[in-house]
Amino acid sequence: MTGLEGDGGPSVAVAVALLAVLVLAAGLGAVLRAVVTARVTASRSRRTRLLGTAWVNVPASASAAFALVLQLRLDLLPGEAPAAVAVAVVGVLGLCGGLSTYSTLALELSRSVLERRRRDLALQLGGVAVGLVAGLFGAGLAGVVLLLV
Amino acid sequence: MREHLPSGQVLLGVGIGGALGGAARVGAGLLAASWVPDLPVWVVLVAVNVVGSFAMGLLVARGGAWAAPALTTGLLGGFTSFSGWVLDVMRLAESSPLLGLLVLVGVPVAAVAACAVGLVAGGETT
Repeated sequence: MTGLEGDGGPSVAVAVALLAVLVLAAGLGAVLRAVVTARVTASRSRRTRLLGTAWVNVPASASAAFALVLQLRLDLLPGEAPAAVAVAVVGVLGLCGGLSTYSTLALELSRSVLERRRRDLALQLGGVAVGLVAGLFGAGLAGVVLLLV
Repeated sequence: MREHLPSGQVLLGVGIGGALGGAARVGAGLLAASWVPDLPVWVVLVAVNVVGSFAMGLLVARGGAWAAPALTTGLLGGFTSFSGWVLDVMRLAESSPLLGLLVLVGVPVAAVAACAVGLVAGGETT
């Protein structure tokens, strides 16, 4: 074991360390989102531009669901799991939290609503639906992995 | 292709903003749990997403330096979370399908309405 384990719950030191990992991963996720968003915004395809945040929200949802299901099914709770595993799980969840965004999605949707662009809104809502399906896919994939391992 | 990438300075600002936004989201959860110990976790994320969407509309409508990528893409983008909402919907669908459906439909409606109010309050005209 690694010394990061606690009795029942994470110690203050472990909690601070995991919070630092979470925050750094969230920052990295935001940088990745900015890079992807810049590429999407510069795209010649209007459909690509309209889908906007779906390009980051979909993979983030799938990855977060995958990590969370593994964490819950394997009881990889912070303070109890080996440090490397706890850092990996918290890192993936932090990265996904920083990579995905709701406020920018709301901005895209609200502009389509205010400007009465129904077709654009339908396409963007399709992106939201794909994000939800991606979450289910990630959770299902984690279930399959657990069956195989 | 490189001209489509944000500058290093912008990316640094977005990264710091995103880290602070993520910390603020976690902090909001911890603060809410200390005030109301029985408060379900999903309630905090709903509030975070709706408040963050309103702030996004307001900042973007105000424009200028306030709409800097560090604040909008970074801070507010990191503060709110789509993947967190998806996870909440999935967890609630298992334990309480009706509540899951409410969060599934209600959060996007509330967030879009909040953002639209922010845009209008900030003076953006369509």
